[in-house]
Amino acid sequence: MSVCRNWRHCLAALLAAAFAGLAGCGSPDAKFVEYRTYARLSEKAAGYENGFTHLQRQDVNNVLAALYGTPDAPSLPALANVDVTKLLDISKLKLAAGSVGSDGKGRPRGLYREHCAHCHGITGDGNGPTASFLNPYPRDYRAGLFKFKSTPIGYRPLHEDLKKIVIDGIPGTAMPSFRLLPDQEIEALVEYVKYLAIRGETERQFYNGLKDDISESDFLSHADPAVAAKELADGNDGKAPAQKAIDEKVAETDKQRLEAIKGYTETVFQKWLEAAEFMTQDTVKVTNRNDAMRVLREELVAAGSNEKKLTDEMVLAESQQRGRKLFYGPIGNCFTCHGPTALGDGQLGDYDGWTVELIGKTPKKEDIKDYIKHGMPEPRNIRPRNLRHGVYRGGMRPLDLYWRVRNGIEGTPMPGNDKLKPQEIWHLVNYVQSLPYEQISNPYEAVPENRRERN
Amino acid sequence: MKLKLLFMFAIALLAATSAQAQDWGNLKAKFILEGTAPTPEKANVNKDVELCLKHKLVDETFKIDAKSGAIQNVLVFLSPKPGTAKPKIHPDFLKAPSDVVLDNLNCRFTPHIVTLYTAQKLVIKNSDPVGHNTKADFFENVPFNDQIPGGGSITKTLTKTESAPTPLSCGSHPWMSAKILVREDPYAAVSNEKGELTIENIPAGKWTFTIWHEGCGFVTVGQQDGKAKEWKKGKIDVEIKKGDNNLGEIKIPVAVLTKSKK
Ligand code: HEC
Ligand code: HEC
Repeated sequence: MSVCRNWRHCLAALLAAAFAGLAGCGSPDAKFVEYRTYARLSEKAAGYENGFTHLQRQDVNNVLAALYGTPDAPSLPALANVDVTKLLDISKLKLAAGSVGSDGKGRPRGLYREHCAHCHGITGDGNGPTASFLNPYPRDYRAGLFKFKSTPIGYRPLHEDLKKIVIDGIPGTAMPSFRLLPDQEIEALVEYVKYLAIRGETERQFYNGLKDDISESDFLSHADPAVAAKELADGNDGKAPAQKAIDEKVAETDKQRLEAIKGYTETVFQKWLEAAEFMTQDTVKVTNRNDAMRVLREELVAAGSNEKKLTDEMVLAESQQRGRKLFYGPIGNCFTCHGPTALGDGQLGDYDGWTVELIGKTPKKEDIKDYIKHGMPEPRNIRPRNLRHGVYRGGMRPLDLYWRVRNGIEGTPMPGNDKLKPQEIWHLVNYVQSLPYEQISNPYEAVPENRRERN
Repeated sequence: MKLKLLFMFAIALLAATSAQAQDWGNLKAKFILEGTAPTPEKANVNKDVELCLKHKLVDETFKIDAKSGAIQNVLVFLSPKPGTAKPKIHPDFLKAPSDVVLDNLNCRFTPHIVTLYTAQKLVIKNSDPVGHNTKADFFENVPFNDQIPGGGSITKTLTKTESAPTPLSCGSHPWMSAKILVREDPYAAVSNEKGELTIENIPAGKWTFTIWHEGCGFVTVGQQDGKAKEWKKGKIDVEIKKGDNNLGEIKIPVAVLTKSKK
């Protein structure tokens, strides 16, 4: 590979296709904003008193622009080890990108800015103009974390998971339903959400790399000859190195950086591809409720119930009873957060994952101030859901609740229950669905009983 | 001290091409606090109080012997530059490796600082009668947040190197915390109650290690055998020779050690 001196040359060589999208774009005013909170986190972790320099951050922005284009003209990197087109379709992205209008042939453009940006921000940082008034805040896509999906915690969502959210909205929050948009437009918007997430995750990888792998005043995409000279001198009792040695070191480092950028970017795409792959394995078999109830009926009959008199209602009631036991016992443990009467008042001092990442679980005032200065929204406590309302943000289908209880809710304290059998998850779902109808004045004496169970 | 990329690269190449028998060495170090040890803060036990309060739980960031100043839970680990050769693994580590056990016991995690070599499995037990859940926010590995029933356990396979320790927490008991370092090689160790640690059977050669403590992250300043030292990002270069290699006594000023906890 030819020696390259700056990000343009390096990335042009690496990502031949990346610039294609930049040609012929319209007004250049819309810009992605820097991921300042994450940069701050990284520079603090690295122990840099003065933080990354303006030039270092500009370098990161340049690399990102070369890989992903701009809000008006998105592009995609061409990577050797992953097929980017398996995940993102540039023609769909172009429908969603840009300023609001149409492309002259009557096809819409700028769908994202029309429908989503005032809440989620041009960059997908969850920081649009109306964001600060909302609770919960609009999602910041850049960490790649989503709450309501079929995949377990730690895995990216599937395309269909995001599509469901865009179609249905999130009841009980400001996130509206976009059911009335044509499928083609919803597809474009979902694609664009993935694009913004992936771009943001790449930015995180870059700052993490600057934190771990690269010395203080050096750059993500290229070596600084002054730094190279100093390193050579340090390794040789302070003797000034020859120009040739510096040139060689710079060239060598540039090459390594290029490899690293490629590696960081591929990691991000791989995570999304892995999720889809993971969900095709049968370790994540989804059972349906009818099967679970049939098995329970067989159990009850085997245990001596009269088969003829055993109605479906009786089987369901038994399932709810079992779910209730799990809910208030040490196995399900749901009551610790959702409270002794499931009003969602068991644990009120938590913050969500996007906040904890920056300021920890018991934040200090200075840290809050510092990160707010760098763009973090005012931290607010996250509440466990009041399960007596019967409003479920991730969807009303029993299967949605099954996923929530089995997988947990990413970015929140709500854990997954991988250890429970599908049967038991269904008992919990059945109990949760019965909660809005259960009398609170007669709430199964949850607390005392559960003291007995635990001691 | 800057990382010597090219140099490390050359060494790695040399190591890879040399056909001669591999020598192995151990790295020892001892960590002592300079100044008065901070008193551990009482944990805010606001859940399962009947069970948890009696254990007199405290914040476990600082475990320092008041008399000797010995600092427990300092972590030292080999950290080769990405893109350079990885260290060879000593045959002893290749025999069926034992599991790493992290227990939820008496409303705390034990041990507090865990190291795991990716050939090992992580078993998280819950020896308490109440439910716990363990949340791990990995950067490279797949994060998780799993409910573990009282008396139960879960097993995790982790495959990727993390560049720094990952926080572990329990969603039901907000005071509970621990850290886990996951590496693709077994060359990491945590200091004991005497402040001492040993990393065994490192391939001979020049390596960079990272020094880390929960109270400050990377340990960047201190004295090594009486001489003032600065370690950028906690990185220290060591030439490992056959047999024992000793970093000596490393003194860390209390202001440095408590940097991120103030
Ligand atoms: C009025 C404000 C608002 C608008 C407009 C809006 N959203 Fe949201 N959106 C939210 C809020 C608030 C949340 C977070 C809800 C939560 O955390 O429970 C959210 C969450 C999401 C999520 C995350 C779901 C998950 O599982 O984590 C996606 C994806 C999303 N929105 C996509 C979109 C798209 C696409 C558009 C435009 C078509 C859009 N939103 C428009 C407010 C909005
Ligand atoms: C460590 C605390 C914690 C525990 C334990 C916990 N939850 Fe939750 N749960 C939460 C939080 C927080 C939310 C709200 C997440 C959000 O949407 O932001 C939630 C939300 C929910 C929801 C609402 C889902 C939706 O779509 O709106 C359900 C249902 C639920 N939990 C059921 C359970 C059940 C059943 C258990 C026990 C098996 C349980 N939870 C255990 C913290 C917890």
